[in-house]
Amino acid sequence: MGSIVGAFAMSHQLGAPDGVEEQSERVFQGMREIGRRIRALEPSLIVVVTSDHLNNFSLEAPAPFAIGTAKEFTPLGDMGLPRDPIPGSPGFAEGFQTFARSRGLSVATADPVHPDHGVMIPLGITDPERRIPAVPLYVNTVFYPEPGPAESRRLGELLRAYAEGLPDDARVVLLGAGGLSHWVGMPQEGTINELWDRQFLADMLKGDIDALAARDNSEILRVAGNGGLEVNAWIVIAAAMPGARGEILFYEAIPEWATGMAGMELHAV
Amino acid sequence: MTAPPGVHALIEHLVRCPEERALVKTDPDALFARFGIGEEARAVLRQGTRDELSRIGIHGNYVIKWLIWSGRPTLPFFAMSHFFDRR
Repeated sequence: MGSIVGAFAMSHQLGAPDGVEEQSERVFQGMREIGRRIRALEPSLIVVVTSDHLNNFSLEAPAPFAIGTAKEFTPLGDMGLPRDPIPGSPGFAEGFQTFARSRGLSVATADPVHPDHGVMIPLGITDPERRIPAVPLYVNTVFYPEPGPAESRRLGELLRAYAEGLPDDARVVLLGAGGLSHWVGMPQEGTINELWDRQFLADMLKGDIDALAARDNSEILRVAGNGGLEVNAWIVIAAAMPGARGEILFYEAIPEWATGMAGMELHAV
Repeated sequence: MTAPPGVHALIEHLVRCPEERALVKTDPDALFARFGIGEEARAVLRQGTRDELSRIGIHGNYVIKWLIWSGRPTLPFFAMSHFFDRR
């Protein structure tokens, strides 16, 4: 039977180190630590749960949830990220689509897709050699007001049920990516709501999925920004790990990067 | 608020066709004409700040892209190799 052998979440941004060298380095070393932990788990698959940044999707055709079904992905290469291909897992991706659809949740096909930094910063640090098959599972919060925390919880619950029901001995690692508070292309850009970030992390630490899923996108948008909506990816991970307790590996509020930066492991208990 | 007609379509086109992004600097009027963008929106696209672009209803992710292609990024560029060479 398949199993989820690890669950992590981290911000999916990096920025110029100039003037914030120490914070920058703490963030990067925290991301590297997540990568080391994931590789030590010897996963057969990494599911990267994240939002695209309207590089692969259109406002004319919103796809709140979508999944990459290709055998191989060529990254977009935005932000100067490497474009070396990464192996996919069409069997897992298409199987999850069917599984979710049969339970009333639509997950669109993302094909072709060229993963942008939302996938490739966390995955690029986690698997520098690009050997571990990876599936991008999009929680596209750029299509606000959907998807919201309640739907994200449902997605996470289905992801767990599907992974655990796999007939093979798949070793699945979940890697949520995005957030925390930040405003993208808006007057508040550069603002970070550290208090809100820490409250969100506290709910993640406790594994309080009820509190996480009770949040509302309009409230998140107001106090944590349009980029803050990306925490829905974290809620997916929390919902897939019921009862798990979190461990914060880094948190830095970096106005120069216009983002609250965090990383966490969720430990099954 | 909804963006002025044609603006999101223009930016989505440039997302899909990176070879045309140079026109943002060299001949923006050709792009504006092709996507039927009105004079008021053209002025904001040509010289507007991030906040002005946001105020006319352009999606935040598109504001960022437009400003980068215009040579007016809101955050400084950096070499990703600073991090990725040390993974």
